[in-house]
Amino acid sequence: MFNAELKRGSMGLMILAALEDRPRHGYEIGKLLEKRSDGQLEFRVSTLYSALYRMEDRGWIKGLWVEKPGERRRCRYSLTPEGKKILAQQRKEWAAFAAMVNQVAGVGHA
Amino acid sequence: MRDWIHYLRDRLDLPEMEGQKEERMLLEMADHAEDLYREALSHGSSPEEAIAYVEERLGQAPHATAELTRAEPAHRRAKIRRLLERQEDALRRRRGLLQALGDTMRSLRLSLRVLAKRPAFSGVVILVLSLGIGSSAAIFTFLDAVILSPLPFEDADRLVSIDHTAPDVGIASAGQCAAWHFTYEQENLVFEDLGLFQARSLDLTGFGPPEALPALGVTSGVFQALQLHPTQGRTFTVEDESPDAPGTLLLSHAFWKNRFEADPEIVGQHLRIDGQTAEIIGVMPPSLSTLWPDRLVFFPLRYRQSALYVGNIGYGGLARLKEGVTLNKATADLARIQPMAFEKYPGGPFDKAVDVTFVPILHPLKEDLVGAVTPLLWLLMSGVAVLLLLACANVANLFLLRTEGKRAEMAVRSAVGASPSSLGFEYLKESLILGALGGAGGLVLAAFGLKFLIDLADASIPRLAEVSLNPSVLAFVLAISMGSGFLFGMIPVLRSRRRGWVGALKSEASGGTHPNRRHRLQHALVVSQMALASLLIVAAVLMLRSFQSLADVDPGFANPEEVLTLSLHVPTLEIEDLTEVARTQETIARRLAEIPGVSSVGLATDIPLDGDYNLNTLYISDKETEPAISRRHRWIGEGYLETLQIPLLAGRSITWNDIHTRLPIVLVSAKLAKENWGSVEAALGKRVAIRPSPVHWFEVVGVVANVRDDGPDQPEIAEVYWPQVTTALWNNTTADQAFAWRSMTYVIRSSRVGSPGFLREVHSAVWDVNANLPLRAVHPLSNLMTQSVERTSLSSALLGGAAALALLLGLVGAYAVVSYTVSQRTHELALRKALGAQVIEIKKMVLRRALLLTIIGVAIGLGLALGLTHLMTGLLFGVSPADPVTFLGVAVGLTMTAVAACYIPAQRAAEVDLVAALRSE
Repeated sequence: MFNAELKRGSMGLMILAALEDRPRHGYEIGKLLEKRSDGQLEFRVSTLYSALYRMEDRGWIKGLWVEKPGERRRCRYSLTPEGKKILAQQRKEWAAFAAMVNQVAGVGHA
Repeated sequence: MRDWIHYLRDRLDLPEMEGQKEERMLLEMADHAEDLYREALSHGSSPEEAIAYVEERLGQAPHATAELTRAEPAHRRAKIRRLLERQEDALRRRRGLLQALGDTMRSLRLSLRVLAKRPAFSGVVILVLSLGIGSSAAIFTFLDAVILSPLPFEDADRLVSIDHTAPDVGIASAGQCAAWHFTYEQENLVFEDLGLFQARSLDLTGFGPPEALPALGVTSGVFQALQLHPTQGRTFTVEDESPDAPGTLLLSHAFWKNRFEADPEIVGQHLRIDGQTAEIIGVMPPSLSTLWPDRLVFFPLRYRQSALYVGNIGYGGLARLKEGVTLNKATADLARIQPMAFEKYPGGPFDKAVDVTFVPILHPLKEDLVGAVTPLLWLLMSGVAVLLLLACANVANLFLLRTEGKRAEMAVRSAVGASPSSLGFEYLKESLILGALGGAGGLVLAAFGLKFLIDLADASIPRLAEVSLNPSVLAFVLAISMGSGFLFGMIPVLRSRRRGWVGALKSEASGGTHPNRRHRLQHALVVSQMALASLLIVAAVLMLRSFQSLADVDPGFANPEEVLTLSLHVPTLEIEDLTEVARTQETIARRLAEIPGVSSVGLATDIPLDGDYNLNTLYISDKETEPAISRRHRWIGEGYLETLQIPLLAGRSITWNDIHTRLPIVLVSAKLAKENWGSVEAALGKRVAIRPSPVHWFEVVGVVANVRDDGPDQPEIAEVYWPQVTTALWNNTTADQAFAWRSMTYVIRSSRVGSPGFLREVHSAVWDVNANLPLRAVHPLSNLMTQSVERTSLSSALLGGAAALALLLGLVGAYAVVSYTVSQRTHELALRKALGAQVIEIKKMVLRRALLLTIIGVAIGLGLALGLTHLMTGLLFGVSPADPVTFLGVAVGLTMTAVAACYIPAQRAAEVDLVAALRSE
């Protein structure tokens, strides 16, 4: 649906946003992004995990293996305080960037 | 849950990442894949569709791998990129290779189709080759594992066994003793480590019914020299060898696995061994079973240095040579040190027995282990190599006959422009394919044959556990199948080179060259097949005759299949007093005799063929000034001689009454009687002792027939039979102090030996008397007989099989050629017949040729045999390697069978019908 480069550039922000309300595991994140985009965003599994691991390395999110009764052991990701800061900052930047792009490319005025 | 981890691991081929990140990735992605799979199922997909969905979401493998590795820090990424590039390169190369492979496959398929059109020809060729290659591969596998490959220890070529010979009394291998061992340990300049060991049996109680555990006592140097480390726990140290240290044990890998179900917590547990507690301190690695396959536990040998003397020989010794030290140098060093042992540890029996000198001797440890079977395996290998050659000659023959038939076709193809080499290559390709198929068939045969051989060889061949079809065997099979394919494929090619295909056809059309010349090659092949077959048959017959001679030897005792043997050891902790021990042993014997169907029972310190003997000094009263001699000694209870049916030649036997009254009497074997007193009768009334100036002498009251104690192929033994209980026998026993042995072997004669229930009755008879005594070495005496001739029977069976195959192939070869010649000469034969030749004359003419070829072949084969069979001398018994009966028998037998086989085509030749023959032209 969307160009891969475009998706990858905004992926960090979308993942951070998906983790804002509660910790989720990889599949949940993928599903949530799909749902929020009305099925327009579909990630390859490897793309998703590659992004998750990089974000974890940067200290934005933290993966934790959790076992619940009656469920499989899963690795759930949650936002770190650093991640929360980055989310707020990226949201601002993205809004500004989108507004700028719209303005320059004349998207809104067509 | 499906096994996504496995699936992903195979597909993605992730490189190693920082902190083993790749493992976590696999786990998480597997979870994800499972979720996707369930999601698809919940939307009504079939499992196949669900998998396809998962695959789609996972993306293409190289892509996904590249993407995942992007999660790595930059400095590692470059390395991973290189790795990925290499993988891609390999993939590309593989694709190129696949293409080439595809071309070859197409060409192969074509050839296969050609071969499939002649199923009889191809089938026979593949069968013959499979037999030849399979038998070679099976024996080679043995040879490789047992003899060629090094022992599974570090720097195994520096490992040696320490042994002693006693040339004066004809003992080739006396073994090692503790006093020598410690002397060598203190004084040697040539070893890195050395150890002493002895096989014993330990009583295990409190762990099921009482049980005799095959065990090995070792000094700590044994495992140090082998550089073996336990798979868990620790090995023995010098502290474990102290006589006052608590008991310790190491388990063999197999015992730990089978009896303790590979318990990971085994170290620190305790077993009750010989009535005392011993701690399990470790488990030895499986490779130890190469040296001692049947030993289940290992315990430290313990000595008080002050109590040691040179004697109690019969231990094993092994050592690791220092780097660069040769066997000769090490032997010389031991020869220098050995006399010191008598000064360091005086008081032993050999200090005075001047007729025995012990000479230290070292062998490579591998030779010690496999030396005895080396000639046997090489003989078998030579046998199957001959069989393989014969198979090749046979197939070459078939190929030649086929070439004859295809000459016209080849000539036509050659005339329309095919080059001789391309036509020749076609033959070669076919023969290589047949070689490969024969190799494949051979491999299958070898796999089956190997299992059969391992069962057959049983305990008579060491290192059996290491025998398996391994890469070197595969390489061997590949080499011989391609080699033989090339060999018989080249023959027709070379032939066509010489004359060209067209030339060949021309000579055919013009009435043919003289058949003799044309068939020279075929005849040569028949001759060589006959030669090889007769060589192999001679070898097999010689082995069979040896086996027969061994079976005919009178071992000195009779009907061993009706004798059950068992050994009992009465430990000190069970009964301390020796008189009491002897009484218990007697009670058990009497109780065993009450079992229904038992005709007699006896007991002795050791029995024929069990490999045990007591070598000690012997003093003879009227020769007291002479130096003592060393002879074998055996202590027996009533009934021993009678049970084994060893004939009494003069005087009387030993009874319970003699034993109870401690009568100072002995029996001697006829050989001992003759060597000391000239005759059996003269021995009666003579007196002997084990120590010089004894408290009392022991009078010879009976002489018994000689027994071949070491096996039917070994000489008869001069020995002394002592009563089970004696007084004042040894230096340290007085006239009122009874001496008896704690370990005795029982012999029980009964027609019920081997019948169900008998063993149970024997067990309960023993345990009625004392329930804490485990029964050891329980088996019919005939088992020991079989074992003692096992190598001979094994080699005669295998060589016999190879010879039978050789005979079959040789006959088929001769038959095929004669039969083909007859069909080629139909015209001529028909004319002869028309001109008045008698049926008998035609038969004679055909048979004459077969007879001539056979006789030449057999003569060459016997000539070869005469030159080669002397190499087998060490394996033969009671038959000379140039045995005229064997040679003559094989010559006559083989010739007659070959002629008989050729009678069928001769008959056909005689029945040729002139009209039909001319019509067919």
